[in-house]
Amino acid sequence: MDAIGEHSLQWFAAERVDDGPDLPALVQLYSGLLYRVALSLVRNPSEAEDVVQDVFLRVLQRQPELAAIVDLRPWLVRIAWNLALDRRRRPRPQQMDESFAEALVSADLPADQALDEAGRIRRVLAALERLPRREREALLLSAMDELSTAEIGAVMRRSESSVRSLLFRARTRLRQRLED
Amino acid sequence: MENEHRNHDDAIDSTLAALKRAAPPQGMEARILQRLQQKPAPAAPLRWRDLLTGSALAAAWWRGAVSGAATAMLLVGALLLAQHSLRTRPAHPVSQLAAARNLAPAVLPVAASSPNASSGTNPCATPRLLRTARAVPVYRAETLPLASFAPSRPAPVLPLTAQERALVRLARTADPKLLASLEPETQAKLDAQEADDFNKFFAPPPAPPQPSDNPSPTNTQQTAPQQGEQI
Repeated sequence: MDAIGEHSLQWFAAERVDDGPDLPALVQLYSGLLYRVALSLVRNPSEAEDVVQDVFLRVLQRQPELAAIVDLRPWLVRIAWNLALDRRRRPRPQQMDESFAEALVSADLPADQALDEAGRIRRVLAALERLPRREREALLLSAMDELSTAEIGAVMRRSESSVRSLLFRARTRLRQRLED
Repeated sequence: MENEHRNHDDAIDSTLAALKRAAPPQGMEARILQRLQQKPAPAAPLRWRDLLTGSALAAAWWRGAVSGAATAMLLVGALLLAQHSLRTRPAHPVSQLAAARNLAPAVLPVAASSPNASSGTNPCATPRLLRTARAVPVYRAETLPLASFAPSRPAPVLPLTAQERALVRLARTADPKLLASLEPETQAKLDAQEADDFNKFFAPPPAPPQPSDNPSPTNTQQTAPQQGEQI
């Protein structure tokens, strides 16, 4: 919270219109999750940050309605997901995926293992791209620890059992794709 | 095969775990908050409650002006409504009509007082006269509404009788000469002309020449023996 700055907190405290959630608190609480959700789709750190920023801009625009939202986390994740999908539609170069795979590799690994791991991740990411859209979305959202199956269902507007079925099919299909 | 299968599962798990581990860049929260600070907060929707209480308006004179204007508009509206209701009120109110209905003419049998009525010359079957007694309501000018002094409207056009309809049909279809004969003067002229024509046609023959004073004896003498001869 030190990085946020005292003046920002004061400003938001003065600008609060309704008795909804505090915006700096929302940023602190959900920005990490939203960043990972966006990153899994756009595969670019700076773009993912832009997505998170856009999410909170939307929240600021609809701040009077926040108090009426029952479950805030799926709502925020859905906004981030949709914004990331919009950005994903833009054309992006192939080498972006390669650098993204290298960035995902743990820095603790030795160089040769890191290279090997980056290759594996790149193959999985490529296979993920070829999955049906619903299965890919369910699998990527399941990677977020913070989201339960019910919350994934709320984001995808599907039932919990449907999400489980999508996850099972996605994993099976992805394994088959990797074997090919 | 089993080993390869496990390897793929491991690759999937490691990829998903890598996505899960991805940490946001340093200072992202501060940057986002700074950006949000630059954006103006959305204006709260103006509520009627706020307008009425004046909390949304900054200055007190604003509140006074708005409330004064609203009061003036309400007064003008009430005045217009009152004027409208005065114009559209019926000329005779319901209570007045009921009173007039109570004063309807009553038919009262009155004994005849004239000597003619008692005599047998009266063609009526009953020896008494029926006389209507109408109680005329007296209205004072100051109590009557203004609409009572307004000129009355013309009576509605009644439908034509059978004779009138026949006349109209005749006027459209009949001969103009025949139509002209319906006027008494024209008819009289026509009759006179006809009589004149009749008289001209059946004019009396010209009168025979008058016999002269000295008729010739020879003619009479000659004719007489001829008649005798024939016999």
